[in-house]
Amino acid sequence: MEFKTAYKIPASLCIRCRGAKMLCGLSYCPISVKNLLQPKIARFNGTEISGSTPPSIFVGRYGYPKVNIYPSAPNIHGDTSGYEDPSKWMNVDMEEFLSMRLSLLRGGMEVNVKNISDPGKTLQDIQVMTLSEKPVEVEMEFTKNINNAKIVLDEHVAPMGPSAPVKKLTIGNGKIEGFVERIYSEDDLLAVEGINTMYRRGVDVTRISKILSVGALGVRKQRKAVPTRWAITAADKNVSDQLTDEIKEKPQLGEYLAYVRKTPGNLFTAILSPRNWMFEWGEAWYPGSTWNQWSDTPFVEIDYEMYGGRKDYPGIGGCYYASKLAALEALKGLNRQGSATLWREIYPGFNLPVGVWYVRENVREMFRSKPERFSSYQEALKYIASFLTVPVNKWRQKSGLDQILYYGGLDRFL
Amino acid sequence: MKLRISVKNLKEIADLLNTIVSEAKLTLKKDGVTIKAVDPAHVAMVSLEIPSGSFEVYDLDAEEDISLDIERLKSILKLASSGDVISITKEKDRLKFEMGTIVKTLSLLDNNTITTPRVPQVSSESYVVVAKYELEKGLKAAEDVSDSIRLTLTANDFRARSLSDTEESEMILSKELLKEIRCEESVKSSYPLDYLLKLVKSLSSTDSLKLSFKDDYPLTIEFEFGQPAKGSSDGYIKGIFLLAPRMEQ
Repeated sequence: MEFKTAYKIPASLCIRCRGAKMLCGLSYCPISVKNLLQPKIARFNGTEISGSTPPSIFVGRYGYPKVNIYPSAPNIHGDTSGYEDPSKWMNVDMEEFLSMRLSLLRGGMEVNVKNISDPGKTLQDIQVMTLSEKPVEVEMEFTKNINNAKIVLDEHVAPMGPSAPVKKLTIGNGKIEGFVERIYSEDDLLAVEGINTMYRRGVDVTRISKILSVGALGVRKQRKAVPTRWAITAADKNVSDQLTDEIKEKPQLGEYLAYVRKTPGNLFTAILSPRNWMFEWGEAWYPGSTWNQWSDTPFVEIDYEMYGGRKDYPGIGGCYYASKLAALEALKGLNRQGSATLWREIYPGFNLPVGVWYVRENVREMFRSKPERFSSYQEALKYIASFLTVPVNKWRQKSGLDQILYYGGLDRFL
Repeated sequence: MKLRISVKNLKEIADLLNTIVSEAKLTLKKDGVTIKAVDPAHVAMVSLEIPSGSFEVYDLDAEEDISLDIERLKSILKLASSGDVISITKEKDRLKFEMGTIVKTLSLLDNNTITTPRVPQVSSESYVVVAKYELEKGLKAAEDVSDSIRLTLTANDFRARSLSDTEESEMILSKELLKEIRCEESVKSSYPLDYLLKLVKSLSSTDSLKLSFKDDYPLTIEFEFGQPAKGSSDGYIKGIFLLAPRMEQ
């Protein structure tokens, strides 16, 4: 399998850089990725694999309702759970993360999303595999040499390795918790109830989204496969809705809490304010970052919701719901209600679509850090402004909540 | 307690409240009902005086507060025909609605869970009385330009203007097109557009609105709506809407 960048990097740059200086402008070193990938696929002949799937599943969205469903595994045996655990990905560098994800080889088969409600043996095996909390042994035979296939990069979905149509699929036994098994076997349980029960019992949204994607949830006759990209957002959104109802019952925060987190190529900031629930997610893309390749100024985009929630889909997409989930989890942890203003800056060189997990996990991690405490919004704003590189007034002009937090709405005239 | 009120009146009250809240507390007094509600962001406030003359029957056992889920009330009203008169009685902690062939009940909310807003004391010398349809046109014109609108009042005209990086929208109402105007020195202030649009859209039976404001100051909109019950001369519902300004940065 070849791993190539979209453009040729002159050898003279690589020789001077040796993976250390990022002279090519990418946020990862393609040569290091290739070197790390090599041992993971060493014993691989291109047409059959035998390995432990974390479990890993991908459901495509092209051609909907006829989509491709791809169980995937690296060509190695053992504890591969880290390949599908975003909470672990934050602690490895981008090259290690990419080599791990790109070694997930995908065996594809076409399926009509509706046929999931009455799955044949193979689809049922895939569902049961996806439900497992532990890695499952898998053997796949492909109809074509997978070495000739392309890899997939998508801003919503974590990167995955190449795929080929699967000829033969053998899936070993997994380990499924009793309550997950019961949700799967239930004929009349709504998908949203299944999602909420699993979340309450400690199943993370990443795993919930996979279980949702293979059509293992909901009223039996209405079950459908859900493209991975949509399933991720559906899981974030459904759990967020539940948490929103819960925190609205809580008393308000007593002060303003400001959080900051820096990662390679990114800055995350948050202010939690002592008011009723409101939420805002803003992104500022610098020229040369993934989604701002051609302009010469940072582009700021913000979506927000007031207490009553939004009726339409935020223009910013899946990251909105991933960050909102993380903010709600933080408020729930504090046992308080508040308004959450979250802004992220993305710097030049961060130019690889990695998936919404990156936002969810980093925002979660940010909220695990100790906040600075302030008695006014203005002070909290001043604190985060000292980390932001986009002028704070540019952020404020685009913000949907800033006016209310800064000036206090009608309260100022009491 | 027994009340009878036209579906039209009750629907307009519910629609208006629902522009800023999903739950509200009603204070039932001898001469009518008052309601004060503030939106969760504390940006807008509505206060209503519904005189007993708005009701066909207004019969209380005692003065009391009752709290309702406004969205549930709206879905009950969808079951009625627009010409219906609805009978409302209270049974323990529920309201019973009878309309035509349908009887529905609605559980009351705990009064303590609905906060009574403190009302800011605002006043301004400058005001304008404008036809609702004129203002609505101006707000709709601004809708796709910006989420905020700047109101300007001079001795001679009333303007509503929105600006974005690339677009602009302005409504200009000269003195002759206004029902009343009072302004000695010109005043201007910006407001969030969505609150204004929702308010104006919810007031189906209002003809004119009185807007008063000054520089960077809350906007007060006074209006009347609804239809008096037969035989009542003073049955119009009086409303006041307060809206916090959007400050220039």
